[in-house]
Amino acid sequence: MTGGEGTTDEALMASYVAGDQRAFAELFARYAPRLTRMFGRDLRPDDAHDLMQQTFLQLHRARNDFRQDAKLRPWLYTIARNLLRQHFRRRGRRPEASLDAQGAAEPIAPGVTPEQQAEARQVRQVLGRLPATQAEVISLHWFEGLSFREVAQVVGASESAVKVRAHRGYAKLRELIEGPGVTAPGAGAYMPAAPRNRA
Amino acid sequence: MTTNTHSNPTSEPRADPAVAAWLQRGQAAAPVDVGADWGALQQRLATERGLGGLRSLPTPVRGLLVFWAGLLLVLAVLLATPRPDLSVIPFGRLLADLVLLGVPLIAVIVAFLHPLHRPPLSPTIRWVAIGLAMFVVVASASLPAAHVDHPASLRGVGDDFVPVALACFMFGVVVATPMVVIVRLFGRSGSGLRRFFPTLLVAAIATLVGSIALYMHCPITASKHLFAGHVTVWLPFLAAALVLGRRSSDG
Repeated sequence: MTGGEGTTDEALMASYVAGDQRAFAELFARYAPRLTRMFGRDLRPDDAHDLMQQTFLQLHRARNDFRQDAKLRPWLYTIARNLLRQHFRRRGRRPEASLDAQGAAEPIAPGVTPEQQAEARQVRQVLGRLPATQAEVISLHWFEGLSFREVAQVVGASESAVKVRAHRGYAKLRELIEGPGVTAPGAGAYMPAAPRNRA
Repeated sequence: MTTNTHSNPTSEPRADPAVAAWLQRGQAAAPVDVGADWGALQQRLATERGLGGLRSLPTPVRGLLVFWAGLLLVLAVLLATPRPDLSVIPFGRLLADLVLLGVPLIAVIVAFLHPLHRPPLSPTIRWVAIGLAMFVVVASASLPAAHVDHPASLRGVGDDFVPVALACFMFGVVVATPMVVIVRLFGRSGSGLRRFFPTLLVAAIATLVGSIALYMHCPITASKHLFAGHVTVWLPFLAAALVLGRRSSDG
């Protein structure tokens, strides 16, 4: 069974485990761009694409471990975050320092203005000044649209511990964006990305 | 600027409006072209057939198969070259020695096969598993002799110390080396033996299987021989792990 947008991730995964290659292609279409963007926040584009491919390779290898009652999204993001963690450990760098340390020159992406791109880079830089555990929780919640329950699964902590990290991270962020060198926009609505499956 | 973050941090934390607006700026997302990645991924997946498919087995099955592979190697040694004093070793001592070496073997297999879709094991747990594996090999050689009632057990401590110890060392390494290949077939790591902890865990698995095989093969009970010919099986695997993983701190 390979469905369209209405088919759940878990149903697609079940189909893939049963041997349906089109289900894997559909999962790739759903998550490859999002994962590439996530990796791209910390890595050069080539590395981001490579880690995204590795994530799907590991998804393939682990497909027989997938429990029918499990949610795919936190499962997939756990693989992705573990691969990212390994990537930085091999290189002896912290994720948030990576792009600046490498002096990566980001190409101007189509569909995003240079101002938007500069703002996004500034957000990443300020997030990088948070403790890594707080930055990870906030990034997964805001940029990947994971609920705190899903974030807890990904980082291997309790949901309450994750909420404490987010709470402290927000407080620290507020201090940072009120500090020198950070331009804060006007007040806006609370709206993390892709707010589905919110617990 | 007012804040509406909750005073109870375990309730749903909410960024205040300024922080929320600021975080939304980080969401600026350009379209990502992954068309070429699909083709590259298919090439990677093509290598997952045949023996490459072993790493796709469920994790408990992979663990059992790796353990059974080690067991088969030990049984092969036991059938081909059994220690001649097996009948005079007290059963309790035999069992205790095998449990002493077998439990850490299970621990390092589990640590090595820990899947990526679970939160990573802490470095402490992995160091404990590796340390335990090293410790039991040394502890096994340090225990009082199980018996001195068999003539074969009294060899290897006189003029023949070096050649007999060297023979045991070589035997252990030869038996343990296939485990490196077998474990790699079941491991899912993409970067394989170039990573520090996985490489050490593979070394520990191979060494423990080599040590158990030596235990079933060699009748000599003198600690001097056990340290020189059995414990040293760790060394080539440890050296290989340190050389291969030296540029990494994958922890």
